[in-house]
Amino acid sequence: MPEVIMPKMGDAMEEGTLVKWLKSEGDEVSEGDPIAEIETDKVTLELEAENAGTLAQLIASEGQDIPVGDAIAFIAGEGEEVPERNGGSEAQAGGEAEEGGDDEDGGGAQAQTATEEREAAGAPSGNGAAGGNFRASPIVRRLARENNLDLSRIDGSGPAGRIVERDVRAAMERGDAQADGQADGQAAPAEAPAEAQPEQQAAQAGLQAPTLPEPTDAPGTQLVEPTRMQRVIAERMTEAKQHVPHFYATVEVKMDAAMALRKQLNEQLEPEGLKLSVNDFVMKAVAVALRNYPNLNALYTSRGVELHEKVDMAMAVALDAGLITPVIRDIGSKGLATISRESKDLAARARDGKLKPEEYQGGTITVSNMGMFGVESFTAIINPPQAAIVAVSSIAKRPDFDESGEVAPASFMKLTLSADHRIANGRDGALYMSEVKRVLENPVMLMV
Amino acid sequence: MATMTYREALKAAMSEEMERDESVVLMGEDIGVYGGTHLITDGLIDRFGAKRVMDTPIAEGGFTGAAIGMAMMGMKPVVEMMTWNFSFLASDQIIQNAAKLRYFSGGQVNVPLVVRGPNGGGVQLSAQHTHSLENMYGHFPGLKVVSPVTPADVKGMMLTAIRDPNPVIFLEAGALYGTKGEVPDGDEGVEFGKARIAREGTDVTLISYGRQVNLCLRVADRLEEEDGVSAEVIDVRSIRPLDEETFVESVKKTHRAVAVQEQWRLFGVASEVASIIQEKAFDYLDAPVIRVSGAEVPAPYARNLEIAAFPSEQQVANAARRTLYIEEK
Repeated sequence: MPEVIMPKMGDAMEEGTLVKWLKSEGDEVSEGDPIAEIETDKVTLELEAENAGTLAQLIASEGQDIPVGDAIAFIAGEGEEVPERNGGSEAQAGGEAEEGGDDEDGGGAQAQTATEEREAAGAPSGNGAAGGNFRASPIVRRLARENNLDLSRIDGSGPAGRIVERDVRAAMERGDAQADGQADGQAAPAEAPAEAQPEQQAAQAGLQAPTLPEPTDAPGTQLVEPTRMQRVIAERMTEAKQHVPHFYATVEVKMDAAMALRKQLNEQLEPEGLKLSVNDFVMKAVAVALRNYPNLNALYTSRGVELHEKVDMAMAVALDAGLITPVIRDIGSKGLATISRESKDLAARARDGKLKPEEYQGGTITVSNMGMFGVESFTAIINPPQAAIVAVSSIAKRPDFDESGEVAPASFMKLTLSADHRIANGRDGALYMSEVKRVLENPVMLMV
Repeated sequence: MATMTYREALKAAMSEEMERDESVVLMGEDIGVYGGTHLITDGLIDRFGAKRVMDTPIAEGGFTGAAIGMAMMGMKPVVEMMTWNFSFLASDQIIQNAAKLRYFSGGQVNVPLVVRGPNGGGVQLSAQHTHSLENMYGHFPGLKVVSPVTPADVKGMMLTAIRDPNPVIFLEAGALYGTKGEVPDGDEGVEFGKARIAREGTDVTLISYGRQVNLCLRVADRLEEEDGVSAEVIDVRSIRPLDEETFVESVKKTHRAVAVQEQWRLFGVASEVASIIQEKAFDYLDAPVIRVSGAEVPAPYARNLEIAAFPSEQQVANAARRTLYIEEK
């Protein structure tokens, strides 16, 4: 009988929330029928039945977080019954336990006090590893979880190499059992819960966990549980700010030429119902200028800096629930009209929660525009593993000296680069930003 | 505070309550004129008369049934089993009637009955007179089952038992009738369902009840002396209702537990304790919970064999050492 599982909607997704069942137990479903609403850290979407049949069992309940790949329901074909979950393995375990039982039962005539059967004998040896599993007492597993320890690095002193509390305490004192970060691809102990706690994350990062104050619970206050999306944003931004050494470079761009071109183009495009935005120009300029600065169109990976030929431009879109960064693929090869169309479509669908995972994953650089809110300038947090993000502020008109030294009105906009200092140095950032400025001030460059 | 023996404390509780409450009567074999086989009721017939201190025939089922009827009508009989071994004959009355009448009657009929007597072994009474029945009676809803070990507790718990509107199985530590201890003056009932921390410690929890508590206390001293180990000793003292919280919290602190009982290993109170610990403190355990129990034989008569058949200091100490992963001695 087909299981309906929590789908993996993106590389980083480890679990999703079952928001709502759209069908009830016992309902007939056809292939493609929406059966449930699923919320991942990025989107809410409808999960469709992959098979036709009777929705025989709803395993997950609404509001529950379910690990990727776990069954949330069963769809039964004709004559099929819901399988007993875990039945087989339990039966097996029971049989083994029995086998290992008491061998003193027959000794009725012996006046020997029966104490608990000794555990499997064996001198302490090595770390009790057996097929990647470690013999470890429950409290050891809990301590490993809470302190992000790698049990494979701890020698067990208990029977058959069982790792016991004193071994962990000693290892913690020596500080030599910390699990590696994710960078080396080594999986953390299997017990690590999907939902990492802040302290754990801090431990993973080798940083002191922040001590959070208790709520005041004062009158006029309200405690709000962050949404899943907001939690993910919080984790990722904290990680970025703690791990990525940011440096910043701001340029002021004279926008009159770009705005004149925009006006001219928009007049031409009006019959098509298309209107280019300032942001379309900025995104295109950011991409065009990257040609000579490949290390800013790059990802910081476990095995080095991955330079990308094509620019996949992530654009930050504010949502009520948080924010998301849909990606315009290979933006360098696309014209302004295409960019405009795609960005409007992505932004609209982002707000409706209708983006597909592949549409918001895998950007190589990000543009964040707060110009529409009238900000003079701001700095953005890098979106790891990307090397850079460009913060776009509003355009303001003010007096300026023209070429002949006369005071004339002109429009200016500030762009601020945040770049990863592990990848690029100040000079790269400065030269790159002046190139962006040059392109935007000579917008014909956008056309070539 | 006065120092008295377990026997004196028990008698004090019953006689004080008889003074206070006319509906309290005593029944049992040889408890009146003879003063009781264990002299628990010695002299009470002279103080309260034969109507309130009743010598019964050797017919446990009959006089226990009579006591249940009296209790249903509002009296508060305290029935002595000369030893708990004889309660097998009365167990049909206790289990089928006393434990169930309140339930059957929808709460209209109470059975404020106490059945008391020495439980367990240790005094060479051989196989038919050596049983620890706490698991058997503890199994049945409708009964309360207690097993005090100190003179203070035996007095306080007897006061509570007589006043309880439900049938109470009062298991005395028969081997300890002569032991002395401080007993609070006056009317100090000890609440059921509350375990007693007999000794505080940090490294391993020894959980027991009845006379094995004293054994555990000796073991705790020994562990401290020989191994530098700080053992906490918990006297469960109330089998039903069972105070899970006290020993679960203790194990959360110490991460190791040994449950000690005089009765046989399987299906015993120690098994129940071990099971509750793994359910409620699993993530705190550093070692399997170990049970130390009586040997799987009918209790021997010979002194050396009887000693060998009950938990010893060495066994309990070594069980604790195993939970600590230190060398056994």
